[in-house]
Amino acid sequence: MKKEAGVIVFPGTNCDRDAIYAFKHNGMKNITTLWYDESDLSKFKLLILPGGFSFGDFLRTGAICVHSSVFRSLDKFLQNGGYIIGICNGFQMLVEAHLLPGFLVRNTSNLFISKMVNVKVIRNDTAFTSEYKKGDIIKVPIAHTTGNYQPINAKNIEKQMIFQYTDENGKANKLSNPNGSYKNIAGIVSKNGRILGMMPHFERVSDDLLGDHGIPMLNSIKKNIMGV
Amino acid sequence: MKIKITVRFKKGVFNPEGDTIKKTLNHLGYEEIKNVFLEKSFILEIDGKKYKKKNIETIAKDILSNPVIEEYEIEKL
Repeated sequence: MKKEAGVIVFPGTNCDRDAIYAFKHNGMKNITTLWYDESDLSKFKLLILPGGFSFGDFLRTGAICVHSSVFRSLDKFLQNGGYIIGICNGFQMLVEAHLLPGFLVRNTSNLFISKMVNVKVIRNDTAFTSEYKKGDIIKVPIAHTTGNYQPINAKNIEKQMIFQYTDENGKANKLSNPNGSYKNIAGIVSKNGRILGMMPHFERVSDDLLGDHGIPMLNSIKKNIMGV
Repeated sequence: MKIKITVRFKKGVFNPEGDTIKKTLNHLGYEEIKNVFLEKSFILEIDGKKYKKKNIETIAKDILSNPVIEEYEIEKL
C-alpha cells in the first residue's frame, strides 16, 4: 500500500481544500482529492471525510454518502490497514455508516454554532494524537448544527473518547459544552484506533496565521500514518 | 401505486426541534401542549408490476431511516 492521503469530495463538500492546505502546509505533499464514486482505494493509506453539507444534508446529515461507491469500498480499505478521519460532516457520515458507534443529533440550542472552543486531548495513545500531551487544552473552531453526540452504549464510550469540550482550565461541564454532547464528547476513535470522528475543525488551525493548535495532530499523522 | 413511508425518532431520542416548537407554543399561551413530535414522510410512486415488498422494507430500514435512532412505518395509499 502506498502512503498517499485522499480527501473524498461529495456534492456539497466545502472543507476539502482546507484539509489539503493543512496537510501540504505541514509537510505532507502526498495528498489528493477523489470523487465519491471512486471505488479503487488501493493507493491510499489515509482517507479524509471533510466538512460541508454533502448531498445538501438531505434525509439526514451524511445519510446519502454512505451509499456511495467510495463507502462501499471502505471495508476492503480498512482490511488493508487504512486509516479514516471524519471531520464535522465526515463524523456524521462515519456514524451513519456505523463505522463509529452512536449518533449525532441537532445541537440542544437548535442553532448553527460557529466559534472557537477549548478541547481537551483525552487520549494521546492513538496514531492521530501521539504528538499531544494527555490533557492538553487546544483551541479549535467548530461550525455545525448537528454535533450533539449521543452514545448507544454509555458504559463503554468513555474509553473511545479522544477529544472533549472543556473550559480553558480543562473542566468539562454544561457551560463548556457547546452542543449538548454526552460527557462533552468532541471526538471518538474506533476500538482499533484506525477511525477518528470529530466535530472540531483541526485543519483550520494549522498555520501561524489562524492558530497552530491543530499542528500536533498533523504531525502525529505525518509520523504514524504517512511515514514522512 | 403509492406507498408512504413515515420515519420518526424512537422514543427517548432527544428531539430539539420538537422541544423548541413546544416551548414556542407554550410561550404563545397554548399551555396545554405537553410535547411536539416531528416525523418525516416519503411518498413513493411505484410501478405496480415491479413492486416488491422486500425492496420497500429495505429502503425504509437501510436508507430512509437510521435504525439506531429512528423507526419507520410503511403504508399503502
